[in-house]
Amino acid sequence: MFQEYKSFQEEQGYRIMVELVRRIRASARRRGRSLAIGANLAGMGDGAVYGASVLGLPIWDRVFDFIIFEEGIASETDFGKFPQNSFAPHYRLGRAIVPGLVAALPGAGFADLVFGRKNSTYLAILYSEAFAFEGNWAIAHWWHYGWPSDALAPASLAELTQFVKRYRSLYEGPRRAADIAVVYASQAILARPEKHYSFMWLCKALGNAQSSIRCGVRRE
Amino acid sequence: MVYAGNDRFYSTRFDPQRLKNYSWVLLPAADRLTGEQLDAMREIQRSGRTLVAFKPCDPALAQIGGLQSVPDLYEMSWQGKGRLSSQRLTASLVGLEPAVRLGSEMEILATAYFRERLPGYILHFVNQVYDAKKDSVRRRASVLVDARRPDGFDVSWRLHFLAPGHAASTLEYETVGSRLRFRLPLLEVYAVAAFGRKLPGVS
Repeated sequence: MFQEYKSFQEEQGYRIMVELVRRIRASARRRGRSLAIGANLAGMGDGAVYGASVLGLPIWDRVFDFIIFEEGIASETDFGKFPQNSFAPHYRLGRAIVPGLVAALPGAGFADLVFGRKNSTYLAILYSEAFAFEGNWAIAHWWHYGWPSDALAPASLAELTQFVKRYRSLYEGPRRAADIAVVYASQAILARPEKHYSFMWLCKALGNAQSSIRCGVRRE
Repeated sequence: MVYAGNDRFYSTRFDPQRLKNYSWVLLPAADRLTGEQLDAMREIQRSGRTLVAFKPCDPALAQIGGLQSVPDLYEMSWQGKGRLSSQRLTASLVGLEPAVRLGSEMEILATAYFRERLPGYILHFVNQVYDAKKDSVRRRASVLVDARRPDGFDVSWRLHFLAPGHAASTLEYETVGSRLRFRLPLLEVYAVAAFGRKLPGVS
């Protein structure tokens, strides 16, 4: 009975969100405004693993123009360890869901972890990874903690931003299609949510040198 | 990357046509496939393309001739057998030619992209050898890069090295069969190598 109740709430929640987005778009159209709508799909995949909701799965491609993945990647023990802290699979999954911007957002625990410690190089690595995967990286600023506005955006990132702006032609425009498909079979992952991590690990392995498996093309 | 939906919130979104563009199809979740998905996987096998799935596989999928099933990287890692699983996966992907190799460097992320509208080949490098106590990376010098030769390449292409805080420069490279080899002079956190005859904003 609990499962039925949960399913009912999930479905209602989904329909309400779809309707809300539809009304916002209709309102913008009436005013002749262009609009892009995105959302922080906190814990996409992870949410399903922890039994939170099927809504954490990639069912939003018809609803949003861009998406943000929030993941609690860092703890004191794994802080700064790569590829564990890599957002590469999120960028890959996001690119398969929406055509627009894909951003990765470290969760609230991450913000607590990095605040007050020297972290500008760590942030620069995550920032650079986003460029390498053509994603966007976001960090949370928890205003109610009274943190200074530059606490999570050190000046050292400005140099990277200037670099990308200067060579923007290298980052813009469509890429040639890849030769490899990684299928994220939602119904299989709904049945066994931990398979989401199998997808994540495979994507990390394909993109990271540490595993010695690298994305490639078929040998001719 | 493609993905397949469920039928609860919308009609099945799986589109077999999208898979036709890929010569390799990897299935990290392969134990509950729909009939349509299974048909698509059979077609992949019939057309001579490569299908690799993590175990456990759907019984019907397991009967497809030529399927390469390998241990689940995630599950094996939990059991402390991640290296073994990785080796098995590497072996199953032996027909893939890496877009870029980095000599003995194992902790540098490298991605390679062709652009539709840009006559060039862009390689991104991120140094992930991070020391959390010092908040620093170990600077790398003279990193050997071995990259696949891009389509349309000819010897008039130049190799540009770009890094934040450094002036742009050109690098020497050599062609070895289907590969291009060169050395990154320096890698702090991030750098780009861009091949091309004329790259807007660079050349």
